[in-house]
Amino acid sequence: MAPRCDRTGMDRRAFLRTLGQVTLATAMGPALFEAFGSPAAAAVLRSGSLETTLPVGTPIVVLVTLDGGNDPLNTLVPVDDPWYYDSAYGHGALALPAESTLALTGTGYRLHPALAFLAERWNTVGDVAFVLGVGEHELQTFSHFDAMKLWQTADASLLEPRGWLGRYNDQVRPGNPMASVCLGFGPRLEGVGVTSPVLVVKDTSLFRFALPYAATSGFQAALDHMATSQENGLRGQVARLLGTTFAISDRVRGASDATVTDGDHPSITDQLLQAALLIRAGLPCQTYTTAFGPFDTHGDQLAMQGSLLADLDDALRQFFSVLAASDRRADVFVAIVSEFGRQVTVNGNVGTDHGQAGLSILVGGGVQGGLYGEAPTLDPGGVTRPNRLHDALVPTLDFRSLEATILTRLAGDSGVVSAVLGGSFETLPALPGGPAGPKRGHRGNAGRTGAPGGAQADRPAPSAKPRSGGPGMLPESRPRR
Amino acid sequence: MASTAAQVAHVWRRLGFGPAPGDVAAWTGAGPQALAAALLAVPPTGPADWAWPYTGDWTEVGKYEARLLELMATSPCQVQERMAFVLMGLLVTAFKENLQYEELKEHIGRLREGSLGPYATVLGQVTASTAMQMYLDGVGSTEEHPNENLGRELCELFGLGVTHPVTGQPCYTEGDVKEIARALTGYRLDWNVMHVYHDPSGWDAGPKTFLGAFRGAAGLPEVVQAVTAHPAFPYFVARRVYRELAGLPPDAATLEALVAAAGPGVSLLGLVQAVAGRPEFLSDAAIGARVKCPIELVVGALRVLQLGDLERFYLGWALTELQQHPFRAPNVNGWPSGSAWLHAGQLIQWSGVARMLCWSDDGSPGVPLAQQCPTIRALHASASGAAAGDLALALAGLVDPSAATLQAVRDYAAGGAWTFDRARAVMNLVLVSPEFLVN
Repeated sequence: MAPRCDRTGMDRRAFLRTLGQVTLATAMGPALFEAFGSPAAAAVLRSGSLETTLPVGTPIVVLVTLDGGNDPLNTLVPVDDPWYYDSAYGHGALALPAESTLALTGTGYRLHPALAFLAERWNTVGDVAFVLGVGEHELQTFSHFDAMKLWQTADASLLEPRGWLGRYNDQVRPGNPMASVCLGFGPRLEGVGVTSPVLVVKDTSLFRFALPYAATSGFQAALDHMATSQENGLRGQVARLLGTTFAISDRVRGASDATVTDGDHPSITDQLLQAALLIRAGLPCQTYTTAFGPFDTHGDQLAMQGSLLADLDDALRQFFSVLAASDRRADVFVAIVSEFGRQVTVNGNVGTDHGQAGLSILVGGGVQGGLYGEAPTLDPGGVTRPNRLHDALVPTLDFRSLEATILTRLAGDSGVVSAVLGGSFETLPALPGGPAGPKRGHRGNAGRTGAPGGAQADRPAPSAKPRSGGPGMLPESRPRR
Repeated sequence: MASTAAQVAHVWRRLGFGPAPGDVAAWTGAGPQALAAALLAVPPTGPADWAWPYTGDWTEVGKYEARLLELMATSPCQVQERMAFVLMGLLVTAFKENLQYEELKEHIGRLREGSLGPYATVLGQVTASTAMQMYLDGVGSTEEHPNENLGRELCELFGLGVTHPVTGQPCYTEGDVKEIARALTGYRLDWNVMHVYHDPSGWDAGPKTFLGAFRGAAGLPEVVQAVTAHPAFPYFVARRVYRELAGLPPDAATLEALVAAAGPGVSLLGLVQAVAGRPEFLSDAAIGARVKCPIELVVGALRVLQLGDLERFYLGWALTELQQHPFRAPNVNGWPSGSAWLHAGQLIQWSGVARMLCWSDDGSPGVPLAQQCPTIRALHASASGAAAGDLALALAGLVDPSAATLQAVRDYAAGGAWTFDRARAVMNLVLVSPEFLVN
């Protein structure tokens, strides 16, 4: 698509200058505010008694959602599995030749050619974990929006209005409007809580409420006065939001750094660079969320996914580069998820339709590199494909195990994790518990099935090609709230 | 209990894009029901009335954006404009690779023409349209390898929903999606004219079974027919329209009443009439219960300020920054609604756009008529001091403001010499008040 500037003779930056301001904001969930929405909370915020700096050593997650359902088979490529190349039941015309992909030392997999940074990180630093077969079995939904909501809330009823990270922040940082940050389009449901609003950031440097060009004296005071409204309901919430916005704007704008963000970047790079700035500045936030896409590759998948993965890879490279000089570099990890995978066979548009089992990736501080979980079998099991769900790979790992793993790292306290997820879920040894709490034991067959080569003496044997069958990690039943 | 004036303002906001100066006062005597009846009686406009500017090609999309927003703000048939906007968020297409300005413009025109007719009709037209076929990969889907994208969203997002709004029963199965995908094969794009056509040689003409019945050698028309004849179809549409206009979740009895009123094919005008006639539509629970989305903010402000020559504002950019450009829906599910827009991003982003609009006319005699702001000029000329604060709120159609807002606006208006700058700053303040931000 051609740049928008061609359409109006004006580029985006010029337009923003016209506005004289902003693209950052705090965001509230669906009429949920309690503590934050109260005048008392706004007063606490302004008095400076709320935590404003995250202690160094506190784990931080940046959750990147590949919107639309990323194809796992062409991300972590099972080049040793002949079913992958099968023209009738495999990826056929979409299958990537092994020689075009990137080596992952010590595994039977190779990586999409656009993911050079991740491959390099696997092969040298060893802090990349691939979580195989992740998905859900309660709804078995092929709907983007039901699947997204399930991942975002960890609630199969789809009625929960709060996100899993929002509920975490309700527990550990209640009422802090900087506790949950969303980069780019937002707020995203994962971060929505009752007491912690989502801070939506597009550009830290532009977080400024626009005051009039003249007659400015008294304007700010008038807005402050509006914010004192004692009304209940929506109007009252908006009024109090005015006050809170002014209270946090300097803190956020202070994180900006033009030397980092200057230049034209793909959206995911912009978003991750803004996250890096806020992390570097010590914003009191352990949970950053963002998304980009669309990975909904119903057509022209090779070009579409390749371009998006290249953007992702470059964004990760720049993100970790900015953080390399920060004393928080060991605290930060990125979790890459998608609402589902894609079907195995190719449609008429040289794309793939909605699937089930997907792939998640963890990279960064604290991540124990390796392959985790069980790869779903690619063997269709016969012409009626009994081993698949409508041509989709069958999940072997409940996505809440991944979320429990991330939360355990953030909280270091299984009590918090159980309270957030409404029960106990198996955790993966890909991330040990955070430094503030005890490490949890791991049970079941969660664990590494392969590992990067070279750097670690205790590395298990390289995994063979993906196994057919075998015990999955989906539980018989899960505790419910 | 909301005042009559507040109910009148509410009708303007929900059946249109809010009151222009004088609109609330003009109807307070007759009352909200009379206003609703009058708005519903306005005949819809058509393509001949819309006078789209000659835009040459996509490089001049700004002219189109300006005209579209101008129509939304000034068309006499505000109900049509409101429902066309509802359809933009329901039958979604957006920029995508080769799907560009011309096709999207045609799509929005189709929604505008069909926005008060039977939903079944506009759904059928859109499903077969170039824009939708390109957006959801209908083009290129083959008999050998059918593409599920269009058929799935036709069921889930455009016609039925995952489950029946009343019974909770699943509306379709994955098997239905696969069979419908077969039926929708055979569409091709003529690249010379960028138009979709059906090529029977690429169509799966075999027998199919979907949505609970054997459908024979079904194609697209039969799929649309099956969807629109599905028991969930009228309930799906009624729930959506009720949520959009009333801003409340409908109960089963309400949906039954709406479905009965909408009739065969689900008349959108009939649904609007039925929703507006519900007692809860004018209830305190409904008034001000939604956060204005960006298009409601922009169009609402244009109505308040009565601004013309809109191309100068680059409002397409404004809507992109506010994250609701008509051609840039985030995904096939459209934009968030209601409280999802309740975040300080709205306050901050909107503060810039509101200031830009309010400061576009400096009040001098030399400003061309088309670029003058009649509302701010009237405010400056008609009042001063605290009374100007009251007048600014009234011009914006903000009835019964909170005590804090009323005091803040009055104090600010009286806080310095009554200049044109202060007049436009007062209006600027009113447009960022909580009262304006809710709908």
